[in-house]
Amino acid sequence: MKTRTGNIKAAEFAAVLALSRVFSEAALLPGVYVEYGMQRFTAVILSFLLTALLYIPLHIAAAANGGDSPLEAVSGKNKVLSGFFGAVTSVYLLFCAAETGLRAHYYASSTAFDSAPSAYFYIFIGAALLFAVSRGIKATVRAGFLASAGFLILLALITAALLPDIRPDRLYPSLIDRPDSLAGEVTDEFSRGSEILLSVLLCGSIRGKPGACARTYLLLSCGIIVFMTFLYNTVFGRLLSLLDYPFYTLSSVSDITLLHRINGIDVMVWVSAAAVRLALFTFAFRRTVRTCFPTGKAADICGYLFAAAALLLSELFTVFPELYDPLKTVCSSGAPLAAMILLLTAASAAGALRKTKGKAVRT
Amino acid sequence: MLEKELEKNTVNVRALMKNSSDLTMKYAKAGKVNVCVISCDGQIDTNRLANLVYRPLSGIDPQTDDPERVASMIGGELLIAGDEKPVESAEEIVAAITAGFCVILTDGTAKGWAIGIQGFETRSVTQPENHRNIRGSREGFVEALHINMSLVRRRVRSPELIFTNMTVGRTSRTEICVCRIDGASDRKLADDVMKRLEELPLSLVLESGFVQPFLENSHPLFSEVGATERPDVFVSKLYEGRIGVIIDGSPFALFVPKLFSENFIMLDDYVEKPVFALFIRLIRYMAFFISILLPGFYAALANFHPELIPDALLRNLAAAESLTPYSVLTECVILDIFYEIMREAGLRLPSNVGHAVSIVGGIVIGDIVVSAGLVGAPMLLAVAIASISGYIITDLGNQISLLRFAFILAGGLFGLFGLTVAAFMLCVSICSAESYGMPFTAPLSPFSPKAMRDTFARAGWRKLARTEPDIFETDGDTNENKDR
Repeated sequence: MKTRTGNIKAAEFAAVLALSRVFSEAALLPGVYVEYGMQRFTAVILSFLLTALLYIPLHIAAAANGGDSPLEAVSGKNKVLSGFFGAVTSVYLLFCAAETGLRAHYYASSTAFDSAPSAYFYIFIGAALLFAVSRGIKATVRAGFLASAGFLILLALITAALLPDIRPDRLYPSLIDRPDSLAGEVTDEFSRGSEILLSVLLCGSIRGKPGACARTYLLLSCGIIVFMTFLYNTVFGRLLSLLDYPFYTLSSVSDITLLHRINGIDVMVWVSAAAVRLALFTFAFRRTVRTCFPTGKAADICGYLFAAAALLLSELFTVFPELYDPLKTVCSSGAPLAAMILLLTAASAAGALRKTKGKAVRT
Repeated sequence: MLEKELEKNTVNVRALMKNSSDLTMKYAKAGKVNVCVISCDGQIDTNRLANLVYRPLSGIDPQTDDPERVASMIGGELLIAGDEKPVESAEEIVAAITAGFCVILTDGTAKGWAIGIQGFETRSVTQPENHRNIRGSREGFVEALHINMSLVRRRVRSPELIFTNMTVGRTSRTEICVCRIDGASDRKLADDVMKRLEELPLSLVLESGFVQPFLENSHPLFSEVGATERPDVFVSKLYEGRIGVIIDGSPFALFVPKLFSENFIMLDDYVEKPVFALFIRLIRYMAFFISILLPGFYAALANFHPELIPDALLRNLAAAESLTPYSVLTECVILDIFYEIMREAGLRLPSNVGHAVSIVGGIVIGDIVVSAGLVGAPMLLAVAIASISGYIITDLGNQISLLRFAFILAGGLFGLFGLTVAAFMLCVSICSAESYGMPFTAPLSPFSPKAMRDTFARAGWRKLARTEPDIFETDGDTNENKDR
């Protein structure tokens, strides 16, 4: 298996993906309520196991294909196939980016930025996003890595401040207490993990062995989310069912000496995370366009258009929730993500098969 | 090329120098052969000229009448001076005499000898003004290149230290010296630096700041080229594999590459116990963030998010702000501009007047603006703490001033949201910078655990001594950068 020589360290990229994943966990979509309790641990762990199970065939196929991105495996050989893969991936990425904008906007306007007009949010996050895209993936991932360090410091501060309020007796030995809703919770949780696709689509920029980034990302984000669930359960107990944003509330109730509450800092971290997540989807889209369509340098312009379209779409979703609701139902089922992973697996397998045939012919 | 007739050569030199007043030509006889000693007034030491040039010339056998014989005696047999080189054209003569050499031309030969007897006035070696330390050497670089080179050589008495002299500036023809330690530095990096210096498009090079932009990779705010007044710091940078550049006429030596985290590392960190080094470095990082963010953060909280401020403090702030006529943002901008004006005035004025400015600024204005009710005391406190914090990181003084102002506007106009977006853009901008292939934010991002032994914390000397210091390990992948 070959080692990639991209510029970004796999562990660093994994940390950024983990931040992005935790953002989806902290900034829920409008109208989405998460049921906590002990079953939450089961749902989180099962969702990550499901992701890993779906990823393993993709990893094997990609490794057989020399560790290349699945899209590179189909590009150039068959224009129709390449265009099909490119179009499906682009649409999925656009939806993910729009959803990220929607999450961030709803979160910001429901918490510390409640009085800010909607336009401010889109203008400023748009400026941050375009700036990040213009500076490139390396700069964005490095900045995201520093933001993820900021998040870990915040988490440590909150944990330290809430240490006296953590009551382990609120944990009870029943990991499945709502069997009828478990499947729904698992798929909902699974559907938030689009980052696994980013690790595959952007693998050309990552240094190290294929799969190292995805493996680290899965372990890291699973660990963090389980720990956050532990905090929610042990601090809030039964009150948890009343909360929209448990992490925000957690930071609100933690007294840090200088500031009364640190929920403002919490929002700062998530707004940065949203900008990083949006930028990563934009980079993935740019890579997809460059690989699957003969656009040349126009791919860069397409990237900016994608970012603008994603923010516009998220504003449309905000204004017209009836547009978003059906999509939300489909997406939270996890089916689109699973389909994308399978599609990319098929692409990688096709590439690997072609290589094997090519070798056989040469022999 | 020089001709055999002395008169023609001297006329050519005089013409090239445009008959400049400081050009001196002393005609004499060495044996029976006419010679001319050409020099530039003020560039040479007259005592050395008398003892090292005139005296040996007058000692030549008076019966010698062969010009070639006289020339070979000057260039070889006579012990004239340690630093001598042949010159074969009028242009070379001009280059030599403007660099403090005297040139001896003999009638009947087409070759001269340049003798190094530099004797211009130089400032003596004193304590650096901007990079002071508590323990360690008190020597700082001066303006004369050869003195600076000797200060470096005294600290590395090894053949591995390599000096390469060059001349830059079409008109000023300033001498510069590229320094590196063989075995520690990357040869490609050295070649890159030399190439940039050779292609320097300037006519005049008066200071290291003239050269610095041509070694940078044009980040709008931060420089990827380090500058130090201290020979010991300079040597330590060379030892880590960096390339140094000393410029004649500047007491600041440059080195590349420079990383962002190096702004927070001082020489004193290495002479104190590691635990103090850790503490003081964390204080420096904290001071940097306080300096750029505190006034903007205060403006953001006071304007948009008062619920984040503890109740008792909020009541005090509200009471203080209710007495002032301006908004929090206006107060903040006014105070910051006042501070920058006072700082600029204090920097340029003579030190005794500078003290007066400090007193007027600090006590009179500071006290009066609050008692007159123009600004609130909490705002004054926030700006004052931010300003003092900025003094801790001297190398980033200008950047801090600019960033503080930008964050005041972002926080004051758009609250924490504006502050977040501004901080994110700054972070991406810094992360996008690279210094000769090294990420500017290394070893923090990309993270290198190995380099952490001397980033936030400093490991003890016993641990540091086990491995050679290496700038390239901060990228986390030594093999990609090393090509030794």
